[in-house]
Amino acid sequence: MKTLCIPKQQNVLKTCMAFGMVLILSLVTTTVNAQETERTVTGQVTSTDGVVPAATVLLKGTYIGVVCDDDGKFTFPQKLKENDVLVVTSLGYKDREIKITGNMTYIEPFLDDIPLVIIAALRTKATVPPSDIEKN
Amino acid sequence: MRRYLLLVFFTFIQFLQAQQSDFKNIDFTKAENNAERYKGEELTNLPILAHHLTYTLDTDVERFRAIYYWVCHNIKGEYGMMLKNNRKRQKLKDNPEALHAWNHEFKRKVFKKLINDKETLCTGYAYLIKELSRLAGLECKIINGYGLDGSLKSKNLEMPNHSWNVIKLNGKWYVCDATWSSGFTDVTTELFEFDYDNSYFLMDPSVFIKTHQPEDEAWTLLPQKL
Repeated sequence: MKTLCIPKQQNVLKTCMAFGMVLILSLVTTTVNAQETERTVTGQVTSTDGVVPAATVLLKGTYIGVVCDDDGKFTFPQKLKENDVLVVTSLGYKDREIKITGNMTYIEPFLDDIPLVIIAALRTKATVPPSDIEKN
Repeated sequence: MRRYLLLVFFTFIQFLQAQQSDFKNIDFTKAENNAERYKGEELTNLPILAHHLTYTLDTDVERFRAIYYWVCHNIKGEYGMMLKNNRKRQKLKDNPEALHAWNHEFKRKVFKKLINDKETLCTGYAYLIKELSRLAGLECKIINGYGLDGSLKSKNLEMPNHSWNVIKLNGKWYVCDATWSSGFTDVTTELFEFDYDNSYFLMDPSVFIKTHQPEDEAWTLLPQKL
């Protein structure tokens, strides 16, 4: 019977090489994954009244963002990855947060109305000390 | 002893009434300079505007001062819209559904006008103050009530006609009215003129009540009647 005898030194070398291969492979895979998930996100902001012009879309926790055009459309200026959160704000609506998931590249944030009763009383006189107002 | 107690009582009342003089040791120059630096900024990116106005300031009252000062020096009153809204609200006052529909439609127009032309009504001023404050991490509310300008008396008004703000600073609520601080409209020409009146900024509630009666009495910020 023939005994397969591998010298000890060669054995260690093989293990090292295998380990190295796994390491390189895992690094490459991570890079490829990251490239796959980073994407340009576009969208259109809407409400019950249709499209919302000039809303602001910001990456949560930063001041990186974009102002939508007159049709409520935008292209986010930075590539986004999974779990990034966009915050959409516009005067007269509640804020809306959108979490980027899966392969999402197009979003349609819907802004809810705010309950606000419009009333009006403007000042019609130049500055008068408050104590004199009663005399008028 | 009685005199002493009275003195303590009045000192306590004075302490309770939150007003501008609470911050007399604070220099607002830096806050006002921030507001000047960003004069003419657009309203399309409010988070950035709130950030620019406030990020160099150390205290909440300075941050609020920068916001208030900016709004009062950049937003104009729109007299035509005010008349139109008042007429319509008066006409529809007994028809809640129609009033609601009018308000919804008019609200969109008000915000469009505010964003595009920086012109608005008191609700627009109060809302903008509230939003910028929120974005700067401050607690601020809109208060609706009766604005008594000159001859107007609340008993003649069937519905609230005015909005202003209350702002929480160092744990205390303060009153202010950006609409009446910013300027006035000449009724003959219907043209707005900036005429900053600082007295409505964190005004003493006992003076404020003479011209501003909130719908909800709690927001007079006066000591509750016993």
